[in-house]
Amino acid sequence: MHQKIILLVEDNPDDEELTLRALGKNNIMNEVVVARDGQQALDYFFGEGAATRPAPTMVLLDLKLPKIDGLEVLRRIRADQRTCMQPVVILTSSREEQDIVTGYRLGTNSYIRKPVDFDQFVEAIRQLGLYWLVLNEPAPLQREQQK
Amino acid sequence: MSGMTKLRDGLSSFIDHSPFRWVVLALAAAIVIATATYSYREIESELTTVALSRREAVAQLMAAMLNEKFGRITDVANSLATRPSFKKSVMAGQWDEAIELQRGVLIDMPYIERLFLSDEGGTLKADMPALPGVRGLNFASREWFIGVSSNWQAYVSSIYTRAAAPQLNVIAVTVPVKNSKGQVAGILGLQIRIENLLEWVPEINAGVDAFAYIVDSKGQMAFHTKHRNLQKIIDLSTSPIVQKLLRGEQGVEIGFDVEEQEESIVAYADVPGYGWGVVVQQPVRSTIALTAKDRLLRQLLAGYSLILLLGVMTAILTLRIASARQNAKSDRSMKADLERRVSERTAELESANQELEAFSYSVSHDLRAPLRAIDGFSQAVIEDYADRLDEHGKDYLNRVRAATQRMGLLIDDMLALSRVTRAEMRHETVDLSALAAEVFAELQKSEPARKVIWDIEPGLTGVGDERLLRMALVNLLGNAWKFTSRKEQPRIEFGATLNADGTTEFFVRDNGTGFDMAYADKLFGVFQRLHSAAEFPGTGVGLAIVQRIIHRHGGKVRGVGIPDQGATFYFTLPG
Repeated sequence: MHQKIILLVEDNPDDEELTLRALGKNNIMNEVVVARDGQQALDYFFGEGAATRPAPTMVLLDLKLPKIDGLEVLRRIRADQRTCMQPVVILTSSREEQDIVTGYRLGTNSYIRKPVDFDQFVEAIRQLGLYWLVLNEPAPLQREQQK
Repeated sequence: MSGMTKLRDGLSSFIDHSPFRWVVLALAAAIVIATATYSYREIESELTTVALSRREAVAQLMAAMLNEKFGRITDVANSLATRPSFKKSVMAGQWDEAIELQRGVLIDMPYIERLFLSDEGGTLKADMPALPGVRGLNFASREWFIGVSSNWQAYVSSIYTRAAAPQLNVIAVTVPVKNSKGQVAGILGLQIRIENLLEWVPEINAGVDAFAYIVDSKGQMAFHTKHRNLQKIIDLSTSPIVQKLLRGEQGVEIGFDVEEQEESIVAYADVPGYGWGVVVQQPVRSTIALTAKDRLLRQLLAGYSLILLLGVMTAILTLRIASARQNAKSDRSMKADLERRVSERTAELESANQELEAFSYSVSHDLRAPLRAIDGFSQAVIEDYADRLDEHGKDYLNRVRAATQRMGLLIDDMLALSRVTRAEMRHETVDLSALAAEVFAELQKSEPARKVIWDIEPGLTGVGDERLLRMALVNLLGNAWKFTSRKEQPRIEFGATLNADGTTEFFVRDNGTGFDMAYADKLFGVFQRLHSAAEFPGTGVGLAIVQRIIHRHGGKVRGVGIPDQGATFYFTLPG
């Protein structure tokens, strides 16, 4: 059985650190791969050597990213047959209605707004981890079926 | 382009633009009026001539007949005077025999009233029927003698009243009795009653209400169709018409008859050689031709008036259409200008809105991230380095965290406020009573332990955007909820009042903390607070949002408060 990997797409090093800290405080010890812009996130799935990398159990996707923004990343993940069933959780500062609507329209599995209060943030991460890493049964991914 | 279209376009452009259009129209009207006047005059004179010439013809006919009568009588007198036996008796001085020879004449020609015979000096020698006391009298001063003796030709006298009874009005026709050498031996006179002479006159039809009269060579009225059996001889020689007749003129005219007191046509004709005259007179009102003329002229005038009226109306209509077209043109250009400006303004607004949106997005996203970092790392320090921090240090870090969280709230509220401005409006009928009830239910759910008396007037509706109106009610009712939290019997009311000017004002009333009206102007300012955050939590944006929502609906909002007794917020929705 593959290890359950978390792909964190986040350009802000503070947020990255805080997210990692929140994961740690919740004793979520899964491997976390960090992509620091949209391109890196897409490279994980479709770049060189992508076939050898395991599909993440959960993608935590920020929206405002350098190069390629989060919504575009989501669109491309959903557009590809190999990754269209990939669980993606949008984790962002924005509560703009437009972002929420577009996110769901593009097929995000969840939309979480990062609270300013760190205690609330930790609680949000705890619930996410519990849900996606433990409770949720992921779809068998296409790439694994092909193997 | 066809010729007609060209013509029409040319015309309309002339009407639209030429400064001479009024001149042309006035000219056209003048031509119509001139034509009307000319034909009116022409037709009037034509018809008048027709009417007059008929009277004139009657007068001339009568004059001709009179002339013929006189001629006949003169002929009779001449033939009587030249009878050989008669001449012989006269020359022999046998007056009685001579007159006796003519007895048959009185029987054959009954219009001859009397015959008389005088010598060449005017002394009456014989008469038949004989009148007593006249024989032997000299009548040389009488007109009949003067007339006949002036050139020894037949003479028709003017009218006179016979001296002998019965005193009839008569004329005398006198002829000389001459011998074979042409010497005058005596005078034969025929006395003729004027009624007998003119018995034919009444039979002449001069027209409705018309009358005729005959004047003799002295201007005396011999006969009048309206006044038969005149006993007295009337002298008309001073009448202008009669004077014309005495001068031998003839003609026709329209004049005012003093006796009849009305306009009349007067036709007059003289009887040449005898100095007599005929006058035919008819009131204008009775003249069929003239009445017809007036009718005809009235019709003509009406016709021309109609043409003129139609012309004027057409001109007015044309000018109005032209000016309407001009107006429409300027309206169109104004409208186009307006539309252009509106679209420019809209584009500006849209771009401003887009900028605002980008700004809001940036605020929402970028401003919060550092706050989260400040809060998160402060917490991390508190947790990870607790052993190296004293209570002061921990307190400060907690204050840092509280401040960042409050700033997060402020950012959220500011974004909410800007969303109110940016949100697209829909206009629909909104059940405000139902909305208020829903908001109340949510508030009650947030603090189930609180007991608040709610009074929501049922059936209140307004026109507007339901989402925005809900936001307004959330803020107003939320405030009421918040500021009644310290009351023992909190009461919140939602209702409506009808103002004197007919507008409906909705209101949210509470019996909470209220406020001092001295600060009423600060109520709706952004981040304005009348209570400390320690007393009542909040950022001071709620009422600003309410105001912005109501303003976007074209309504007004105001607050009335009494410290410690409560506050009422009123708003209108003109819809």
